[in-house]
Amino acid sequence: MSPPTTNGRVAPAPENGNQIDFERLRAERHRTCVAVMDDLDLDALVVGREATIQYVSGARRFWTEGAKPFNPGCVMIAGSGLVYLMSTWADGVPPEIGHDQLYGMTWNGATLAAELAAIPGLSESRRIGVDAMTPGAARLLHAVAPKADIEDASAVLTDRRRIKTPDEQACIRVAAAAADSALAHALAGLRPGVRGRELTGRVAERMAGLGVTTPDLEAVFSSASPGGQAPVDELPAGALVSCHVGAIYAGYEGEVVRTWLNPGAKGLAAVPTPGQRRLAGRWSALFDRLMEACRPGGSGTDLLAAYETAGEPLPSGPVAHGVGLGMEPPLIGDGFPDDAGATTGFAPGMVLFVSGQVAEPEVGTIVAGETILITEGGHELLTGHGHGPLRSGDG
Amino acid sequence: MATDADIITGQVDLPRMRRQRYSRLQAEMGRRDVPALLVFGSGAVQYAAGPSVISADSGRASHLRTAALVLAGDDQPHLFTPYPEGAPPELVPDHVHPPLYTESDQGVADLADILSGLSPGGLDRLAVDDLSGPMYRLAPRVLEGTELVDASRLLGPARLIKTSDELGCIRHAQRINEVAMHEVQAALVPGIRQTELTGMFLRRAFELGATGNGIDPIWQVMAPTRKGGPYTTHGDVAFPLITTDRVLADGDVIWVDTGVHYHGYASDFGRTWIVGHEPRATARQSDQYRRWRDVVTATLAEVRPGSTGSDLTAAARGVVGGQTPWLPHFYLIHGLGTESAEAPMIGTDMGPEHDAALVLQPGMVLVLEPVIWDDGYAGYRSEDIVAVTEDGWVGLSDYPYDPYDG
Repeated sequence: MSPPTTNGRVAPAPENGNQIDFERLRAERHRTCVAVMDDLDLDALVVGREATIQYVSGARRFWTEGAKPFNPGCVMIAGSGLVYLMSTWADGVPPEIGHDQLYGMTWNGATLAAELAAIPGLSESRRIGVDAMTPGAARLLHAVAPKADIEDASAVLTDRRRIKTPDEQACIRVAAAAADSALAHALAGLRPGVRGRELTGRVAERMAGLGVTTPDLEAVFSSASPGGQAPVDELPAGALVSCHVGAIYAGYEGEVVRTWLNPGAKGLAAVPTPGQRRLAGRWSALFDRLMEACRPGGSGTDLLAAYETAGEPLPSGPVAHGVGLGMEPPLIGDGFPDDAGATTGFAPGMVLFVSGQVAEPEVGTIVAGETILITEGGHELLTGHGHGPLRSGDG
Repeated sequence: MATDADIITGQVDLPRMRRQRYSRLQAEMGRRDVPALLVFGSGAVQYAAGPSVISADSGRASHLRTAALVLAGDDQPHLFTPYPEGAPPELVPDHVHPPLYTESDQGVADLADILSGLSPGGLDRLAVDDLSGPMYRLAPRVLEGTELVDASRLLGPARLIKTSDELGCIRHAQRINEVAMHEVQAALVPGIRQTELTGMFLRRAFELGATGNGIDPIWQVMAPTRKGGPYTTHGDVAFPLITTDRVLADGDVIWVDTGVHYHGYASDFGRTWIVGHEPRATARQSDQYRRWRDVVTATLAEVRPGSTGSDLTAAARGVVGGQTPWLPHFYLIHGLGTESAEAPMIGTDMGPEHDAALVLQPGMVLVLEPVIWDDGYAGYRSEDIVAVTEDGWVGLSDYPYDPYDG
């Protein structure tokens, strides 16, 4: 039988090559969980969102697509500091979670209740923090811990997780590099007649080749030219194509967005029209203003103001969001409530995805965005794919 | 109801599919006296509203949420989405809304305002599949007088029976998955990495028209013994284990499991392969396959309307001397639809009473996944998919069992 990889058990393939100290990463996250429980005076934390389970347990878990309802998948007890994980096997589970801290997956509510009740300290809890809930899970938890008040810990968890440790930043760098590389591989295949789904396939292929088999989102390639939603394969040379690529490495996200000029039939770069050059110049001016706001003391409000001072209308959807174990708050943009994080001050160690979008009816849309790290002196770009023929400063 | 002809032609009428699903959901709401259903889970939203979505990691999907709200008696569902261009074309504009943001207090207050605006008389009950932290905390105040109940009680029964269009989608998703796998299996030679197989598979599946990938593809190398695998809470075989950059070696037995999406419907591909340039099953491996085949044949012989789940588990056990030929943390059979595993589930730890109460009906989809394990020699696991018809079943999967049946 082939030997199992030693580096694959709790993180994907490039772990060792990137010198990420996963043991330290988990220890620091565990301290944060202790602080969250102190903040809220919790006896136990019961979490069910995938990102929170990963944060609390450090386990590498089987990835499935999409939003899933809450399920009590991980428990942390304040008194002992021990973490209990719903997992039928120890594979992917870090060594600090012993075999007696695993509870097996079950379809049976009574079995789950018995498993939870057997966790030392849970049933006597007075205050239990949760990150989400369902009506049935609330009944179950009340039955398991009859004396407990069940409290929403989601906001405190989010707040405490906002500043990324150096090891978390390193994971995000790997994901960002994978996203950049996958975008480059896809764009090498872009030419008139190529379908968007072939490019999506190239993204998945390159990411997996790098050892990253989990996407942040299925890569999207779509027309950014005027005239609506023409499929990518029907776009002529010189048309604008928007590209959105995201990767998840060890749970952490990296994301890059570009607008590319459709090359000629043999892949030769197209030459931008004067209108496209003008639009690229506007994007560049806007993005400079956005980046000026990306510094300690800046905030989402400043990003929104950057659009205004650049004279560009706000697009629909987020112009920036937090980056961590997948997408995280703050969510900044038109249509998000005021308390979604726009007023949160940026601080060193925060990671954001920030995008600029400009449009002209006769020319189309240019949207491009980067994963960035807030540093003491400002920010650092973690993605850096080029802009091709649309780079500004070429006339 | 589904006929063989519908399935074989694979014709899918998406507006009809959405209409018929919606009717089933409305019927369940009426039967259970639930005036409103609000769902956030990706599979549930697909079922209730059928939008085209960009499939995403759970973190993204939990923040840029697509949600569906169904009000009893309403002609169409309400869709809340960050991608309005993905809304079904027949959905009237006043039922397509910007996304709900449920991770903040203001977002939850906005949601409560939307609910009271759409049901001015108030709601005595609301079925939900998930409550964000702020929803859970604020519900007693902003949804005062509304009892929250689990959406699964409505969704489960509604989704149990598939329409012919749903079967067409599953068949098509499975076909994409299988065609992609022919290419991957041909590349299964010593020296290839698990992650490389993933890359080949996903690229081909997207090229063939998959609208998303559902699970991180699994290529698990099976240790010959239970003890040689990871620790498990039940002492039995661990499966599925996550993919790494492990290099595969000649003779490795790998259990493959993948699932892609087509218009929201999942495929489910399960096979056992042997790594090699011209792999051959040993006599024992061939015998494992033969016993697996016996279990499937005996189980399928009982598949017809009116049979119970217990009839099927008894048939499966009957051909292997009373042993339980499936993994204890899973099942002999699960359903398939907008979730990669949904009702009906047969042979789970919900127990024999649950299996006895499950009566097969036409339109149910059954994924059979028995496992034959000879400790010391690993085992055989594959998945075959059938739909229950008026007088038996029809296959929805069609992939060879190489190198075991050669």
